[in-house]
Amino acid sequence: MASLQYLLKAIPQILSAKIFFLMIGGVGVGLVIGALPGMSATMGVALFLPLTYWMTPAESLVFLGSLYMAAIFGGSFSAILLRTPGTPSNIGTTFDGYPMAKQGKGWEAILIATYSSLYGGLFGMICFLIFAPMLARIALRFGPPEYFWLGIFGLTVISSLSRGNTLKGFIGGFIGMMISFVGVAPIGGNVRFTFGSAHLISGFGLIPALVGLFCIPEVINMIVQRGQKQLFLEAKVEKGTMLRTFVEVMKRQIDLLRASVIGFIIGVLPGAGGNIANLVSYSEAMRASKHPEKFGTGIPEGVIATEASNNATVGGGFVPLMTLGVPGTPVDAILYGALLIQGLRPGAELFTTRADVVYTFIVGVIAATLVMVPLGLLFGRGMTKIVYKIPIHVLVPVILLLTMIGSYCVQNNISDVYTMLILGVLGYVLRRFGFEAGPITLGLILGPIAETGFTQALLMGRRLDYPWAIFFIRPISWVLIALSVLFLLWPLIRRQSPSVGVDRK
Amino acid sequence: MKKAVLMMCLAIFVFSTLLGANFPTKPITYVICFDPGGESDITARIQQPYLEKILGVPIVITYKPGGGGATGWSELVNRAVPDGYSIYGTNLPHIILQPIQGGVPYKTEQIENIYFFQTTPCTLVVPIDSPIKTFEDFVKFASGKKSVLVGGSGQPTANSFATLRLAKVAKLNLTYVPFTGTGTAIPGLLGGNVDALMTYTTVSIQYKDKLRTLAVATEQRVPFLPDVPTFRELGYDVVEKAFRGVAVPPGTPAEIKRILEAAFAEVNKNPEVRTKMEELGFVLEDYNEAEAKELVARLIPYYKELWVETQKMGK
Amino acid sequence: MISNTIVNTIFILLASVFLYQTKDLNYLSAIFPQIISVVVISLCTISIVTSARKKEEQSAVKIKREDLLYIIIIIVLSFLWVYLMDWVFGFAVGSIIFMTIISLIVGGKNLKFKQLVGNIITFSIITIAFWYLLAKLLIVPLPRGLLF
Repeated sequence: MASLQYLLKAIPQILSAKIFFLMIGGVGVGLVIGALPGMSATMGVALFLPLTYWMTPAESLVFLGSLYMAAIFGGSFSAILLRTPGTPSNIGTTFDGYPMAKQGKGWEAILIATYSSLYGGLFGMICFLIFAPMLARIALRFGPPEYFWLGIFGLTVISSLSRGNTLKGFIGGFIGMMISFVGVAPIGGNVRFTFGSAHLISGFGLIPALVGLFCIPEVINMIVQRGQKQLFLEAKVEKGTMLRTFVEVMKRQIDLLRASVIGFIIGVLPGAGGNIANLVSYSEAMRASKHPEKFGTGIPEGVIATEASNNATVGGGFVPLMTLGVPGTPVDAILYGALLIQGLRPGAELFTTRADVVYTFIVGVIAATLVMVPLGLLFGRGMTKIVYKIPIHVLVPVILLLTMIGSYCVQNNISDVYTMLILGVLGYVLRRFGFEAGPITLGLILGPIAETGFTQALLMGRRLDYPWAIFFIRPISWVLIALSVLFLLWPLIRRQSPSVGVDRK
Repeated sequence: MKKAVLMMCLAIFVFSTLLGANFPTKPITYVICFDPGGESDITARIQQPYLEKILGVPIVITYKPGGGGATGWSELVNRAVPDGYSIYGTNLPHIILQPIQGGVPYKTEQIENIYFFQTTPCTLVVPIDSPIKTFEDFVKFASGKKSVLVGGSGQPTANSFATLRLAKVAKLNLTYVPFTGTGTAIPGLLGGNVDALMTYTTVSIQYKDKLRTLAVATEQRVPFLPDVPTFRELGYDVVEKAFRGVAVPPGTPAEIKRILEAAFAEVNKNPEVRTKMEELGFVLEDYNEAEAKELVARLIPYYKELWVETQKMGK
Repeated sequence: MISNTIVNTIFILLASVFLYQTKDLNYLSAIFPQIISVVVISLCTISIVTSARKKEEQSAVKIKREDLLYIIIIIVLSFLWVYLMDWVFGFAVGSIIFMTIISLIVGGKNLKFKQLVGNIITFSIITIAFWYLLAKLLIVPLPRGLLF
């Protein structure tokens, strides 16, 4: 096996002082960026890309790859402690992570997130090494009709996400889609629904929306609680929690595996990434669980499901990038640019022409996943202590500052900050009327995917006698349609089988 | 208030530039209106060291992405200080089409392009294992079909217009399928979801092991694709390309514009720049300020007409 | 429930406005928003009808009037912060000023003078650290205002 030989050669490379240092640096920067509410992995990689122009290709890739992996993990910290997903890939972590933190088990939740991320990250990278060329071919079969159905399938996740009122969940999801329509139409090219505002031509960005919808309502809650000294009290941490949690998490092999497989597969598909994977994985964990009603109250399974899956998408996303030279996620698009500027052409031939770079990169990211654990625990412990100890009158302005920096830095544009604040207030009002931020953001994420797929498929359908038939004649579409129908009807199916049936109020 | 502030700044800077005729004396900010790592960024990064050598000051590259460049160009026209220390990358047909489509707070005429240094001509490509070997094969394949799907990046773009034009002059039933970028268009082609791509020379070069280029939409053959015929050679009048250039805020003094113009012209003459650009599939061009103005004026009515035609498509 | 009806009616109106606006768009830009607008209108109608039939459970706890005042003040201050940061103060100065004001309001009487000084120092350190990282190291063009 030639690749094994390259892999072994790459290991001493990683241990060379400079690359090792850059890898640690990447992990550190990634953790901080991920943990800050509003700073996403994409933004982190974009911000630090110009710094890598003077590095060698291997150094640059290892640095950015480590940053990427760590940022996806670091996003769980603010999801758990502040109910604000640090990156779009951590949305689902707020559902169970934050209740845990509220109960004083914030540190435990962070430990679970750490170990799950480690598992998912390694799983994704190893699958990338083994299955890359094969999977790339399957990913190519995914055409516009499939993306449309993927969008519809993604929406069905709402039926398990929204506790209590499913109808409100779906309305929220479609409202999110409507928000995503504002700006330039992805296929038709018209400027639409801007109501004459020049700010809105670029639409509502995902990051400003995410920060606004999740973080601002939390800030408002803090203002209501301003009389208290701290946000919440930390339960006493027993000795040996770190090890005990590790064993507990690793015992849940099936949960970890399910989450990682979902994450990896969704990561392989160009155009879909951790933002969808973590929610699909959460909903699957719920479906598979014996006690789905406990999800959302602060149980470890919820955190495992999202955190293992989102780190698995990293390896998945490298599949189309490194085999086809096609960037699947926004981060991979930036990595593509990084490679080009280094004079390398991403694609399968990179494995033969510049195997040294490719394998150093792979080994580097795997090593970064390992390094991420001690660094993450150190950082996570600090952040837990800070959030539990800091008085509210310091927390509120600091978080507001972070939300502003986060939404500004997406496009270096002040109008995104206004958007964030406006959506935040709106999100708070809607939350009070029972429309949760989760489904709205999901709609915002899926809107462009579904619309692009739908409109392109209609154009493709011109080859047929009945253009609309294009949605129903392709095998992968059938699978997605079947899954969507099954999941949509799942609550009914579940209610009818008494063995697993849980009476819902 | 905004206006007053701007006027004040303007007055100060005009005054100071009149006093000190030597430009530049401090770092110049080169604003890219797209994401880092994109083609505009890559181009600017290639130019950066040579510009620094010629102008003798650091060139700082920053990013103002959003709205397909509209955010950055609005800032260029409405907020940037016209002292020559902030220059913005511009693209054709973008800066012509966005005002036509409406909603952007700038007019094409307000953008003072001082140099167009590069083009990416459109190319028609098929997968390398396709039975279509030449453009004649493509015409044979397409003629008589109900609809042949040609993918490309976005709409309205140079890609969409080239397809429109080709369908018209070759009398073929081409359906243009816009993708959100080359990153999604290429899997679309390789996966068989579209029959061909109208894309750019950069893609033809960067994916030359996966794609076969049938024809290129230029006047003369492109130096780094010597075997690829132009549409004109084949008897179809299709010339369509995207330009990349650089602009200064309106009101920048003429002598400063001359200095910057000369600097970009000199960078383009550098053989190292030439090789680096051509390796990536960019075609170097030289349009100084006057020529750039003339080019934009010529293209405005042409694109207006194409946009009206595009609006009618689809139904 | 009345509030549910109001919210759903607003959504229906919004979707109708979207639907109306699609008339000026080309087919490819209009088709998908049209479909989703229709879906939103029908779902909201269903929601209004069903909630009228059954008694809904009481939603979240009421906010006190005093809290609401605080919330509004801080939100208004946040908007002011962004505006003045962009046009007058610049990132660093604007942030430190507004963080201090907001901290004073949230802390209220509980805040001792010593603490306040500590807070201002903390805010300054955080802001300047970000300013240095973003503006100097990563060359992000931050809002400059008039001062610098």
